[in-house]
Amino acid sequence: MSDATLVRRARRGDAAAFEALVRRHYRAAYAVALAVLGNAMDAEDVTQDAFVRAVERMDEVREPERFKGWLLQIVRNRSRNYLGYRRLRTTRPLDTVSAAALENPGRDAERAELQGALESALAQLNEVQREVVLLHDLEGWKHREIAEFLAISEGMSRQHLMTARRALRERLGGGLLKEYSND
Amino acid sequence: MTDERIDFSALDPTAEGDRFEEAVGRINAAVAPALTARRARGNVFGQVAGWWRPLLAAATIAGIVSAATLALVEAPASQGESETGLAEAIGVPEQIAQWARNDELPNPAELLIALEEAQ
Repeated sequence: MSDATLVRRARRGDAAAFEALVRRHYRAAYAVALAVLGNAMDAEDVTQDAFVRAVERMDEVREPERFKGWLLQIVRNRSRNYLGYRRLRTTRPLDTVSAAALENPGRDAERAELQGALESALAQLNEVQREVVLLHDLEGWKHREIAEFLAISEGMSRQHLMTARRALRERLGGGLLKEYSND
Repeated sequence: MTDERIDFSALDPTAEGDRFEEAVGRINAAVAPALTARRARGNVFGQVAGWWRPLLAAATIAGIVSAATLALVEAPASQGESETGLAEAIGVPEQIAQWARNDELPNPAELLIALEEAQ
């Protein structure tokens, strides 16, 4: 079922339709939140908050078929607001935050370690680089989609991806990397 | 050309099924009141929309019936008769009413005669 149909149903209060939108776009929303915030736990909180905001503002979606872009703008704005709030509340530098390791002691230790390492490595990048590399490598977007969402050229998107990957490889080493065909 | 994609699976929020389901459940719970309100609003609009057309149709029919009834009642009485009847009812002499209907201006003598005849 298309996003446009799900949005129209959700506007009428169809919970199943909205849940389908959540499942479909959760990872992309999370990727954007993580790119802005650099912290998995905060990104999760903001992602969930953004979906709640999306329901409240569902009537403002002018082009239901472009719901994803509209949602991700909400995520980005909420993330930036949260970032400002967090800066006022804490003095912890971004690259020392390993929420998975600190706040989820019961979770798989290896996964938590990887998560912490990735968060620290991502913190070395700027926000646009994080958005590009997460949307491309985590969410699987094409450069055309990334360029449209970030209002940059496809060439610039490729450039950011290359720079981000190089920086992450230097930081992480080869253990966390996989070989894929480039798009 | 190949390139090394970074393996972000440790950060993938959907990779851990239970955890993802919890997140979806939290969102569902948080948006439930708003969705309920949307359904209720839709029902109110639906009810109004449902009643609006029959009401409009009934009002239209009532209007047509009223107009037709009025036309039937008024039709037998001619315009002249009804105006004469009104003049008589308020005590205006027939001759004076006639002048008024025809937009004629009598001379003073004719007016006096008409008034005397009426008395």
